[in-house]
Amino acid sequence: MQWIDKKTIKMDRELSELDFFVLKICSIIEKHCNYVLISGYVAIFFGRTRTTEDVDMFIEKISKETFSALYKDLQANGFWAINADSEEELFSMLHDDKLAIRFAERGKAVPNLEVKFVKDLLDVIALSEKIKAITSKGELWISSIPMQIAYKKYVLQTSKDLEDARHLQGLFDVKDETIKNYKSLFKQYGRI
Amino acid sequence: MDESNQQQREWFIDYWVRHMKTISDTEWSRQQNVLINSVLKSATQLSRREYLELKGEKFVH
Repeated sequence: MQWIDKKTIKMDRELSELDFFVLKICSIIEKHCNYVLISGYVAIFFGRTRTTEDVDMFIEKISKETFSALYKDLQANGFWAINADSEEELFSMLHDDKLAIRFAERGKAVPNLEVKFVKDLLDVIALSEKIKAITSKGELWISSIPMQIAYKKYVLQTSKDLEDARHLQGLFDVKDETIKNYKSLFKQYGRI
Repeated sequence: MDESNQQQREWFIDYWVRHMKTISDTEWSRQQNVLINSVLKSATQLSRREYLELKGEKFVH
């Protein structure tokens, strides 16, 4: 892996089935809105020796019309939603109920992409601090590494998340002081 | 998870990170993908309703 600049990293990794799924679905989503991949997939993309069946993503808040175009594009490219078929219902889950909706290849449930709208300024910061990861088959927008480490270390705190944080911090040599800077932000937005 | 098991897991994470830094992305990812692809292959049998049930979620009609 090689940093091209502060916000761009080039990965020469051999792509997994999970990566192919993520690259394909992200290439459709980015035509309609800004997105950022967060949580477990970030650690896995950067080499953590585990897998996941669901990949988490924030997208910016989009209108019903934009969602409609996105959903139709996903369907036309062989994806379906796992939680519901109705476009109205899916948008309502995202917009009104603040729930996540999941997309997978039609006929399958795994792997799937769990999509949520950004809900507050902290999520917006995650979206705006994203970095670009360049692979041999396309680009992905991924959460800032220090923010991911801090979120896993101070907010999520399960064994799995603490291990992901340890992996990322060791791999990218991120200083403890850098991680600690996020603590007050998490407190401000009620995560801790 | 008992303390010794946790220590072993942390030791492996640190070992793997050091290992990654000594070889190319292609090499470490090839090793990692053996795990990822095999787990995904076995999990793809689930229907969406079975999957949602496992996650404690419901299909909305």
